[in-house]
Amino acid sequence: MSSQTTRRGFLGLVGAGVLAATAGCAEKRELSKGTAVAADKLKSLVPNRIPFAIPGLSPDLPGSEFVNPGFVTRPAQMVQAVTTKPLTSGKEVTAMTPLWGTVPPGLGDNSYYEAVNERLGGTVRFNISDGNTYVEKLNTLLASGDVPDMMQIPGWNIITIAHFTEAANKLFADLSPYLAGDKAKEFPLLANYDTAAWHYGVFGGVLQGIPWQNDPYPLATFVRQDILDELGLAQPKSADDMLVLGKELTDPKKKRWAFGAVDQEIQRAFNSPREWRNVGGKLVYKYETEEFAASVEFVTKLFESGWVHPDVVANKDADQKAPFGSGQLVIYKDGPGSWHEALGRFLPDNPKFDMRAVAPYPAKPGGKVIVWRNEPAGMFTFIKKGLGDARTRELLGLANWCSAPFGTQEYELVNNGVEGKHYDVKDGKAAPSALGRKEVAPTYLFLSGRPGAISQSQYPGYVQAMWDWQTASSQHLENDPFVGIRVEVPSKMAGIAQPTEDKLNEIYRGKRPVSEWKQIVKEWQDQGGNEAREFYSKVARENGRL
Amino acid sequence: MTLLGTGRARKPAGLAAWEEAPSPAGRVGKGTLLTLIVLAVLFPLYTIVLTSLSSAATVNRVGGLVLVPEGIHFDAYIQIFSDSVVSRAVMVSTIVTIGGTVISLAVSVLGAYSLSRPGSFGHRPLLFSVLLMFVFFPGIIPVYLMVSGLGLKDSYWSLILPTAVSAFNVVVLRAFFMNIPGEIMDSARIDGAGEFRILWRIVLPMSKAVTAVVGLFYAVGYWNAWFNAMLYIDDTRKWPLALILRQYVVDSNPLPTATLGVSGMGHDAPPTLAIKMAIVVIAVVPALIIYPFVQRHFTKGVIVGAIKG
Repeated sequence: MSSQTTRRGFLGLVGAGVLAATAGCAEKRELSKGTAVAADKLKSLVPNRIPFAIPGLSPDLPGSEFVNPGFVTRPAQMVQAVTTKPLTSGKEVTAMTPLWGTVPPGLGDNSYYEAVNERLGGTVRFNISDGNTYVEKLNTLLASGDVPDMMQIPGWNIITIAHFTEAANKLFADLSPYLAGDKAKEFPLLANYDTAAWHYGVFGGVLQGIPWQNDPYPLATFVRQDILDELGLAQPKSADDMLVLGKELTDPKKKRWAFGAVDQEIQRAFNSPREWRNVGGKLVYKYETEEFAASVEFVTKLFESGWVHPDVVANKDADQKAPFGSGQLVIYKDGPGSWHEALGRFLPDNPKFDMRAVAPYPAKPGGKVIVWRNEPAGMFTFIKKGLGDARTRELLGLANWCSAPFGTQEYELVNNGVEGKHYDVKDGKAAPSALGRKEVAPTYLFLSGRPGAISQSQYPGYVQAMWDWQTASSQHLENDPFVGIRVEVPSKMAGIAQPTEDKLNEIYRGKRPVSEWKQIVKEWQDQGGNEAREFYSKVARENGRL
Repeated sequence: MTLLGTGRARKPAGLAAWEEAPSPAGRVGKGTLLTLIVLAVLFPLYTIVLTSLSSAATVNRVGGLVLVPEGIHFDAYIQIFSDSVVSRAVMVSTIVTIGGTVISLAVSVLGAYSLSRPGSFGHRPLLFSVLLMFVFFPGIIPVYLMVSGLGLKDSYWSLILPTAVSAFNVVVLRAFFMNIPGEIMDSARIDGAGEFRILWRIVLPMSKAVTAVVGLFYAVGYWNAWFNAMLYIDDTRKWPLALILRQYVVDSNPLPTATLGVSGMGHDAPPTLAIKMAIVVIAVVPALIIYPFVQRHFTKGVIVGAIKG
């Protein structure tokens, strides 16, 4: 962009600003109504899946549709998955990605960037931005139309952005001409993705997002096994066991409480659906089910009994990882990915720290066990529209290179940098060097996604334990009525979720009586829930799911 | 209010109730109340400083802010300042704060002085447009388009120019300038002084209080600003301290210099609370240092500027 601005140009900018301000006002009035694309149409838009087998590499624990392959030991040799350099035009690639980690030095001061760019055959210039405030920047860039060549956008941001689909269709390239069906053979690592994840890359009937493939499980109940063992207690096998553990574990004098937030895991144990469920030909949202109402009563009892850590009682968003690490709370729910992160954080100071995921449990002993199924993709990489056929292919080639799975040299370079410089391998365990900690940031990682693997073999017993937990969980996965259909959540429904959750949290904490729950559900229905049901019912009927 | 029947001495004639010498009980009550207020202010500061000076092991064991000292450790500060990203950000923030404050003060003083002289060129429409800024903000997207269109993106100017002038500060300065007797300026004009000389030699020396306070407002604003940096600065080498602090303190991201033991690849441990609190200390120190020097001007500068006009 030219840095020279004439007086006339300046006045033009002022005019454009006023117009944009007016447009901004209009945008707030009307949010996305949601869209859906049927399964048969999706098939024609996305790549045919062609599994990518890494030559000479087989996992110690086999993967399956809902269980990631496990590597109990680190492979001695990593395999080169892409033999050519993907960037050939000599043009710099601009990319915007979120950051939830260490702020790395910029291009020119960062040997990690130099090493990866050298391997890519060109320069990628990152515009990285704080992941927690990413949506602020996204909104501005999308509204102004000033987008880089590649842009990573998390799904949880997408549902909060007004008219995202229209903006995406206007600003980002249609990828179907390059990837649909067997065309994806040109990009074998992209064709290696789960098809359901690709379905989620469809916005407004157009394949636009390269998906970040999610693991199938959104949550797990974690316990401090070392504390349970010390007290001679067993992991809960039902929600009822939680009541016993609450009493046995809680000891405020010793600054120990049984629970952090466990509400969603209790909802699951009580067989509430993750979102929608087909009940006798009618769609019912989780809030409307008896199972959910029972879970509300149960969780409120945990709070009432004083078994929940006071920080969590005082603040629903309180950090629970630190008190879990210090042993102040013994049981809480978190994403499965938090497991190895906690091991990395707390094991150095406390070698006895033993965190375990509890196998999925029912509300009552012998009851039905269900496990919620995660959305197949959580984040997406978009390519700017209008760059031309050759450039779009080049950028897809870059995404393909970045998609290399665990076990490949590309994966190692993207995740860890250069061996001997950014990380060292000792006794089969990789550890970052001081330079690696400073320079290696998840940047190239966000230019695509990749199939999952349980690879954190540096923590003794972790890989096997996670694989066992996934295997046990996979037996109980419950599909919702929209599996295989790409449904974009209507903004109005996304908007009413938080106020309802806030009221729910007030019930848990005794600020509202449990008896108010029915009224809260009614408010949810009136304020957009029923409207959302109509939208989802129409989608379900059109796809033969109702 | 009558004091009859209370057993207290009748107040001397001519003294208001609050001018009497307080009773011993009143003194104790006031002392206790003031002590509690001071403790309420100092206690958080105490825990923050103490936690920043505690070892990671202590913080992990306690599981929160440290209340009882267990040795003094400067590890957190050493880690922070051994990270070139943080050191660089401190430099960027210092330059932007100093440069921005000078520019903002210069523009605001010039603008306020011209607006304080009725009859100056375009006085009424200019004053109206400044007052309009109180109630109408152009919006993020128009400003973004403007900054982007002017080619300021990814430059330090984008951290200064969009917020260089605050309508509030201009109005405060203007009100203060209007309070200076016109006769003084008239006599200067008779002696042959031009407007710039009057501003420089007469108005500003008589307005040190308000200038210092407005300067403090601008400086603190630049030091704490992160939104513009988040929006306009792509290159991490140009990130100011506030943006870096947010990553570490609010988002609990790890410092690159953090000691990780057997921690895994690409999954750094978040900073311990000690480092977070040390960063908080570093962020508030400049304001703590500057404030005592400006405090004596504060009441006069703001109140006089605010009530005249």
